[in-house]
Amino acid sequence: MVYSIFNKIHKLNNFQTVSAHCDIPCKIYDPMHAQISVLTMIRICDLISELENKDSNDINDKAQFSRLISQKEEHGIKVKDEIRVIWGDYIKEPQLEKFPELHKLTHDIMLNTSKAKQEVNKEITIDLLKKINRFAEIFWTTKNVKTYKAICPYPPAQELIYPDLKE
Amino acid sequence: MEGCIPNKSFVLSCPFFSFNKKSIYLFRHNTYGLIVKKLKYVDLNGDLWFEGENFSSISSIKIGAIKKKQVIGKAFLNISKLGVKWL
Repeated sequence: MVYSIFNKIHKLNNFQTVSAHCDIPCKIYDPMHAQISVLTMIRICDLISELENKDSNDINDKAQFSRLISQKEEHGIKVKDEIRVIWGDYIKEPQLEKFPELHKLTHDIMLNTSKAKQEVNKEITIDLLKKINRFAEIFWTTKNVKTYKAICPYPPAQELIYPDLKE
Repeated sequence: MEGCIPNKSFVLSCPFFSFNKKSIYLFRHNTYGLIVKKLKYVDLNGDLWFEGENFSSISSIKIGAIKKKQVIGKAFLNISKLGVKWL
């Protein structure tokens, strides 16, 4: 009632707009950022492994190694940030009731990401991808969007959960 | 993502006010324009530090120190589809 009165006055007088300013726009959530970031971490493990298997490493290889490690760290932080925002802002009681595993899954993702950052270990990072895929699957289910599994069409060619948005 | 002020709601503010911790103020920010945030504390220089209500709000550090003259009002009432609430 009061709101609709103010809304009518607003249409006539146009009140000044004030923003609460969040880092991301309201209601825009997508776990794809986290999925891409963990794929990047896996790809970096492969690239570091290629460097390791080289007979000799010149200064450029050393510089490349340094860049790769730095990028792996950066993408690990992105994984944590993206998952934390969805968990902290989007996931609420209705989603938790439907998927009680969400708190533990999110915590496991945090721990697994730390491990994947600390080590250059493809298996650990693939394990992280599996958890993030499960998180993505739950996320899309809560939005009544069907998902499908497919191998990403670029290195490191790992299985990813995609939303089926055609329906 | 919504904190205590739901999106697309109306905020009534008073241009005459004192500065109190945890009260909500409207102020002009050099980067973000006119924004509404909760007062976290007033530092020794008399500058104001604000914070958001939820996880994804920009941090106090990103907002930076705000001069008192940048504040245009103290929010006291929120009118949203959910109802009317004193702030």
